[in-house]
Amino acid sequence: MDVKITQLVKDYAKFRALESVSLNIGSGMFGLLGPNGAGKTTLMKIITTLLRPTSGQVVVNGWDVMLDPHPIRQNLGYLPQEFGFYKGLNAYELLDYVGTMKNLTRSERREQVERVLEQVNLTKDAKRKVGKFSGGMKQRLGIAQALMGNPTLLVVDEPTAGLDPEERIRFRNLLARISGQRTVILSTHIVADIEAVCNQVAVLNRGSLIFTGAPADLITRASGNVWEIEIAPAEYERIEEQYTIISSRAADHRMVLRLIAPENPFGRGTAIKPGLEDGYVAVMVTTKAVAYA
Amino acid sequence: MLSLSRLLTAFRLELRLLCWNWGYALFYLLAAVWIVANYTNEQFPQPASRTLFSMSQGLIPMLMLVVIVLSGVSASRASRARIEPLETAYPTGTEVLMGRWLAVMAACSFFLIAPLGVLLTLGTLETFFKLVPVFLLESLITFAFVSLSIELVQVTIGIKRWMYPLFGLVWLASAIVPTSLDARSFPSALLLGFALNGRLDTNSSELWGRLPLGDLPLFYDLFYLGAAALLIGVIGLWVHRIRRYQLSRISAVIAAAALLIVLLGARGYSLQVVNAYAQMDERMEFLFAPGRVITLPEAMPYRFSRYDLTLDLDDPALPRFEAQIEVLNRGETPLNQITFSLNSLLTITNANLPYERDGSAVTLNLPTPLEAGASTSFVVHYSGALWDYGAVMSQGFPLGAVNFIRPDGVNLGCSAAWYPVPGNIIVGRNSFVEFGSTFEESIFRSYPDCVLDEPASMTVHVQHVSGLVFGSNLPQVDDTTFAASMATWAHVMAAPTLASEPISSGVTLIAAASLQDRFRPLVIEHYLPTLEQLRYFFPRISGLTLFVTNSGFGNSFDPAATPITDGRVVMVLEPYYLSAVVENPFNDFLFNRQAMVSSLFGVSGGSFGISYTDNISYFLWAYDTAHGDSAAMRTLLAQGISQTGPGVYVYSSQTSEERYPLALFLYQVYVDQGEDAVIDLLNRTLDEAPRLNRLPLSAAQQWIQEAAYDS
Repeated sequence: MDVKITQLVKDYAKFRALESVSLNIGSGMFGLLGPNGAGKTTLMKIITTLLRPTSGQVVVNGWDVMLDPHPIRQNLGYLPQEFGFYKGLNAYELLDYVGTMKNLTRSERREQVERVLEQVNLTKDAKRKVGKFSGGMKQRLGIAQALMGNPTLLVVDEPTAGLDPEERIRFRNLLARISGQRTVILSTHIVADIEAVCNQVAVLNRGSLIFTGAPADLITRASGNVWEIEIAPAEYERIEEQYTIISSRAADHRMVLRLIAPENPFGRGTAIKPGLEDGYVAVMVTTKAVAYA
Repeated sequence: MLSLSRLLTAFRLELRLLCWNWGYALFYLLAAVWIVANYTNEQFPQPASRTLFSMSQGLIPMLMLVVIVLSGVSASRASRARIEPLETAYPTGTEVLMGRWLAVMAACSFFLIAPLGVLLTLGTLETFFKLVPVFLLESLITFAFVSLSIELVQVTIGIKRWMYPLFGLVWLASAIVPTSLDARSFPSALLLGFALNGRLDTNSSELWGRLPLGDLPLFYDLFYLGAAALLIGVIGLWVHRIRRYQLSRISAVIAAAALLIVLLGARGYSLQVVNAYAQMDERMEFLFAPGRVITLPEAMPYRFSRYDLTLDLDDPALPRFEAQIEVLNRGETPLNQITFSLNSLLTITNANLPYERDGSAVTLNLPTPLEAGASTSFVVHYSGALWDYGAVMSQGFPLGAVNFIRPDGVNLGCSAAWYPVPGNIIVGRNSFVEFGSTFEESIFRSYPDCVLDEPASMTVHVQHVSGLVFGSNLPQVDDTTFAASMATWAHVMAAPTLASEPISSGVTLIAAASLQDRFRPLVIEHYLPTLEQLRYFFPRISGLTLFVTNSGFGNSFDPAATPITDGRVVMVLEPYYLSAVVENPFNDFLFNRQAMVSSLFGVSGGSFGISYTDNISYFLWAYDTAHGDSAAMRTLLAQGISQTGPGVYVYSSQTSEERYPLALFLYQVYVDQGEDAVIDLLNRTLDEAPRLNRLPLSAAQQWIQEAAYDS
């Protein structure tokens, strides 16, 4: 399922949340990166027909979100950033209810509920009240409900936020497993999530699309600009003013910094191979520099 | 796309979430216990209609609070559970919302099970099925309106916790504001009281349902039905706009049609109220017009000695009447004109004599003078749809019509002047139970103006009864004919469910068919013995006609005292009172013996009625209870009737000597002169009752004492 976004603008009163975003999303896992407030959730909501754009167009598999939202919903699985369930229901009942809402027949519901429960590894907990689920279980149940109806478009918004590292990895793997022939749009501000599972990525910042392409292309943006430098702790503030520090660690009474810089900082740095996070920070830095310019 | 399965699933799930928890169960249990305790633990075993009225007044408004809470809980559930973002992305429409709303309606309507159970125990199945559907329908209409209003709040701005007190205030305002507004200025004011629709049940009865209120409840229901549909339409429009970014044509059509219904309902209701006020104003202006002279039948130099009245209901919307009347000149000079009163709502279509009309006053011009002592006849044809609100206005709308002719019922009291009444009387103002506008008037007026001062031969024949069963104070000749040789008034009542049943020779019970089984044993056990005892003292009593009906002769709070007809005592009781006689001796005294004596003497209310009928009844009670044993009578008279027990009203803290001087005087006559002397005295008092009724109490008592010595 293709998602074609053209010149998309969304205004909240005087605040512009999305600025002329154009994007094509094809099959596979698509990662949407961006800091908090970048407009990711707004974009997700527009794609999932929950929000009306101010201008521009979003076409999902040929259906315009403004003109034909219903068939989009029929083929959509959505896991928002914040959600809950009817606590009095057990997992099976909840998914059966969702199946009805998604127009499944009784036999389809039975078959799909069992399948998705198995996919998210909740079969054993099918008869437990969802009110007693842990955070990770709720996330998995969330993805299970999104999978009901066998949607061709799956939109997951910040699904790993709030999960412990173990749950996060498990959840990422789950996403990778279920992606199959679907289009999965994964919105997150955690680069590692994208790195692990996505074959396409876009970066949003302040409502504007600043990058789109393969994760490898994003990494390329940081080529030659990632350095490691050992400094005295007293130097830290001076360096931070001058460069974008990606990470820092202590070593004896010294500090080892990983940073983005167009040239070797103070001639003391060691060039290192960039990762996705470096590429993300690099495009963010570039955007900021352009904006300031 | 709408889906029935989604609607049903949403309905089932919401019903489960609403009802399947301890909070609902506990609340339901408490409500059920309260309802059963409150409506079955009455002092009197009331008929279903009366209980239904109480429920409509108190229970339904209280249940509105339940509806508000349940609706709020349901409407905001998805939001509170934070499942809303998920559900919004499902391919659903308004059917999920409607399913949930239906679940709220079901959860609320379960609260009506206990009241229905109570009602089922209070009457027959026939009564139950006659009254309950309307009760249910109206309750559900207003439940729907309230719950949909809450739903609209949720879909538009979302329900917050702080809004619940606000909803409570709106509920309170709906109960207070409409009734405190002046209905003359705001004729639709009461329509705003969504918790008040039960008030329209005021005069609901097994006999007529709510006929006495005309179309008011219909318009009220229409208004709220339309309002509920309008809310559905608006919610549909809103949801469709949010979900589909389009205008929903179906919702728009529903909203438009509903708005039309709302406007029609409001307009119809307002017009009825405005008309009722106009009617009342017109009557008041007429009554109190400067120079208006009221002439009662007794003031006329002639009397109508024979009435042959025909009521033709071929066209129930426009009934036709024919009155053939014999006039006797009882004066000393020849008559050239005859003046009589006829309800101004009835149009004279033909008369065999030339006439002039001014409002209700009609003057016939005789072709030749009618000599003193001579008789003549005249014939008048008239027609009209009579709908008289009885000028009983309270809280902004008419409480009940006294006189009416409608396809589904007839109630024609003589005070409506539906037949010519000699003189120029006040039409419609004074039914048998209406009190006067002044204290003196209340005391001394015993009859409405329409009652003839001398009995006449009266025949009422009904044509084209169209499924109605008729009853009358005039003895029944056949299904459609009633006749009396000595009657001073004629009351005709008809309803499809009316039953006029001869209980024994001379005793007729006229009541709703559904109440006959309930009341027949009471009449046999209580009223027949009393009648027999009374007949011993008043041999002229030939029988008893017992009307058990509310809104029959006015909005009666006391048993109506009506003049005897062909020697038959005519009693009018609300079902409430008839039920009460079984409770204790004092109720039996009030609603049986004293009511019967009041009817016999034709006086009720005021000090005269109380002093005469109360004292005479008291003496007769002592006589019957003691089987004439004077010593036992003295003890009984000193002790008084037991005023303890459920449902007893204690009217006075006076001693027997203070309260029953006439009874004690009668006892003294009984002891001194014997039974025959008392019978003679009582019957002479009865003969003089109309005159005594107009005397001050002391003068009347003096007359009785002198009469006792005379005999």
